[in-house]
Amino acid sequence: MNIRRFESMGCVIEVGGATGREAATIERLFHARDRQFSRFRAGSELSRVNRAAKEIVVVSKSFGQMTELALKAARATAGLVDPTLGAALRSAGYDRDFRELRPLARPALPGPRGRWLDIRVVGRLLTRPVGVELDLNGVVKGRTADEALDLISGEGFVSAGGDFVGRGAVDVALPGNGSVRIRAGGFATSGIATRSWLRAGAWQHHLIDPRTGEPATSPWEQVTASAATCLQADIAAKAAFLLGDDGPDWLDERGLPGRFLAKYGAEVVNESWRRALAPVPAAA
Amino acid sequence: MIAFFVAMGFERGADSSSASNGDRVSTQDSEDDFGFFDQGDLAPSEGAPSTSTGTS
Repeated sequence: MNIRRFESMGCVIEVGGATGREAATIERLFHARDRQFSRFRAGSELSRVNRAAKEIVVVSKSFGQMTELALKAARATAGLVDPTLGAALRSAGYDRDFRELRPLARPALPGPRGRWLDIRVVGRLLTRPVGVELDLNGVVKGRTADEALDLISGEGFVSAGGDFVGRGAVDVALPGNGSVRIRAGGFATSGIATRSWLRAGAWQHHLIDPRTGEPATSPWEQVTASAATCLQADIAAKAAFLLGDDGPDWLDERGLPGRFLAKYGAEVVNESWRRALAPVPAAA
Repeated sequence: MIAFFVAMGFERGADSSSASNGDRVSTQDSEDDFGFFDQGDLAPSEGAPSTSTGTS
């Protein structure tokens, strides 16, 4: 399978199985979404919404739909995956493209807690308390990968910095070691292995606990989840990371396979993962 | 309705070129936490990986 690569949304995107024209369309889609939803572009629609001094903001149809998706994800995770943590990320020090972050002596500050229940979208009108900053990055990346796969006419896949979605069997390497075959659907890994930085000698990371407004304390370094779409897998992996020891059972309750790597290398998999990867008995 | 929004005041966050009259997105869908997720199709690996997930 031919694989094309490009950079967007602060990570390397891999597209497998696409024709040249399909790959070019997918690349344009990712760049357009990055221009619209980046926290680090002053001219993005998201930045304009976050700066708005009024509670009600007119947004584009696509912005409203993406916000609505983010609110559904928040509802599905009882608020664990919260789209209102932009200011908390800045307080932790994640205020520019990750590759530009440098260790600083200035300590991180506690950020505001999540307020997704205060967000409303009605048509193209979005209301939120002034000062609440949206961060839709995870939802945008997962959704864009799903839409990109739809642009591939045959079997193929899209891999985007921890998010994967495919149609047709693809063997995918797991964090740490090993690999799995994804025959269809989404697969995502969330964790602190790559997006961590130092403030006043203390490690910070981008997985904010909406209950505290600070980088989450979790026994896990990386959590991988499988689901029907990339967006679902990404949301499931994040929620399971934030739930800590309860993460494996939370995924099992939804029938989602999950693999958890602890900070010192131990691997835990849930029952759904064990069932999915059980060897198929040989025919008699 | 219009008077309400005028009274509240609002700001334009979208490019005017992206405006589309009549677009509505409901925020009131009844979505329970189990309805959001569906299962993918995962299986044991059968060969060398073509790609990796990385970490987000």
